[in-house]
Amino acid sequence: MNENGKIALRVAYPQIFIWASVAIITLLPDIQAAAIETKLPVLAFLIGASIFLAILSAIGATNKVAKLRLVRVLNFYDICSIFLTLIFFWELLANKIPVLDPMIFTCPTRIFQALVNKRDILFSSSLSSMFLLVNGYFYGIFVGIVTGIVVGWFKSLFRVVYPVAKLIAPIPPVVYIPFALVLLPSVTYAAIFIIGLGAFWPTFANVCFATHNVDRRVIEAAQMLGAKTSTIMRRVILPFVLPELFAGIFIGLILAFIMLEVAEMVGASSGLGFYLLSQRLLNHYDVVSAIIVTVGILVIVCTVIFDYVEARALRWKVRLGA
Amino acid sequence: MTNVIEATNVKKLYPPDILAIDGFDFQMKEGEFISLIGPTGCGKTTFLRIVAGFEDIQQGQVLFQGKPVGAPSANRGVIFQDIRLFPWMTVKDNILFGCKSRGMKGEDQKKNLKETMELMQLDNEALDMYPDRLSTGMRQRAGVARVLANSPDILLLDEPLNSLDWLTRDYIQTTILKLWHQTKRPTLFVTHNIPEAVFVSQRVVVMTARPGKEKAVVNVDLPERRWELRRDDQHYLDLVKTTSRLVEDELSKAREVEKVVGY
Repeated sequence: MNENGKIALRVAYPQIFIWASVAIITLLPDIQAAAIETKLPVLAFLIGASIFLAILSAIGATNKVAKLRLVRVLNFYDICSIFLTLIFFWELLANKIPVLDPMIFTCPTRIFQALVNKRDILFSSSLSSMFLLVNGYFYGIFVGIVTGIVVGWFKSLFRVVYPVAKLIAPIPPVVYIPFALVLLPSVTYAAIFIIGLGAFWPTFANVCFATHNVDRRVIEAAQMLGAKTSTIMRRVILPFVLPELFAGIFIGLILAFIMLEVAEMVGASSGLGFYLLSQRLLNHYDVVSAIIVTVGILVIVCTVIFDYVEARALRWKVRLGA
Repeated sequence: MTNVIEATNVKKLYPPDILAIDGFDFQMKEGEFISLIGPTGCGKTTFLRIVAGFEDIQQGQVLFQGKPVGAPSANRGVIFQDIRLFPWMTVKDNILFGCKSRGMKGEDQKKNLKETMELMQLDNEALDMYPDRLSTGMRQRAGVARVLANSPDILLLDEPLNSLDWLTRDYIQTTILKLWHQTKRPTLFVTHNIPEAVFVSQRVVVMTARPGKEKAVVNVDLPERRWELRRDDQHYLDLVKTTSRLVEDELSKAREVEKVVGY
């Protein structure tokens, strides 16, 4: 098959699964019919996706797309293909032919239905969760960055603190929850503390180590230009360790999300983790799935923002031709 | 008049047992341009780093403007061989780093920037670029500009022209010479390039093989407007020959030292 034929196939593949999904959803009888009130959300999503992808390919076909852009766009199509294939088979195996347990593996139709029906509580739970996450995360990485630079800078401090930190860091912060709940004024504080701790360790470890190994030659250049230690820390070491810093705070972000859900399941009375646990106890697996989808969306949004900020902050690292 | 640099009986030992400099005496008068030359590993760069404040010494005394040299400071500007611009700052921010660090006013910063830009032939386009995107020659010009914007009392040049192409090398050399001619700012120039050392300086101090100390001083009695000097000037060539002989002597000794140490 020639190059254009391959491209056409990659573009057509998601469309095939969209319309196959639409066909089975509308034409075949539902096993879980009792729980389905409306099929509108899932159909709206599928048809919306179809139109969006069609417009995208139409733009691509009419404009001369640069090679690099074309690769990216086709990658996007591939990712869509994976999700749409998943939706198709999930719907087929759970709701059309009885293969999967319909109670646990509710079908995409019901998940989209739950996303729409429960949108208010999902939204308010997301806000509550994001409040905890943002607070915990930023406290965690701020303390991690500042202490990391200070400990990394002073050699004698580093020699004592770094080995100790290496021993303590692997202890999962969740084990401190009992203490956090007792010692801190409210569950909210406890959750923020645990999330912050999750974000703190990888940030601290990376910044501390990178500062310790900072290029002496650059420091000397700053010194002979008359910079004080505080200036050097802010304007030389901080940018110098920025690549490692971003690697650290990205791991911190993932850990913060994990701590967020755990903390909410253990102690909170609101938020996605709390909502998920309560719906599981009621065996509402369609809502549980909708919550997982919501968490997924939040993670993706945070990651996209993160990547954007990182690319902006490290734009000096992008070399010509890269 | 006190000497700008007054070093007596300096000893520098790199632990555990590398004796870089031993019993080195050195004086630099106000307004002098001195080159320090010697075989590799003779401690010429080490001495420059001591004056800059990057290294401590085990014995002796190094005075700068009559006071012992302390921590590195803006009045002793260093131009490094490997340039060492901050890669995360644009050329402009690199040049102004010193001024900003010392809390200089905005207008003075602008004036300094403009002056050094003109001097080092950096255009507006280059100012907004990151160092990684510049050619080596452009980078070194920015490196010199960054130090000049700080108006130091002394310039310490650590083989700054080594990695440059011939044209840039010539340009920066001429600029430094003209600048010195105008300001009479004391300049210490470390190099292993004998013709270059003779060409730029008033005195060439030849150091012995490690441990380094003063072997001889060559007074370069060439006219001061050195950039107008022809490279085939007979007196210049004689001086280069004299200096070369002194250095070659030490080179063979340096090789023997290396043999003993077991390189």
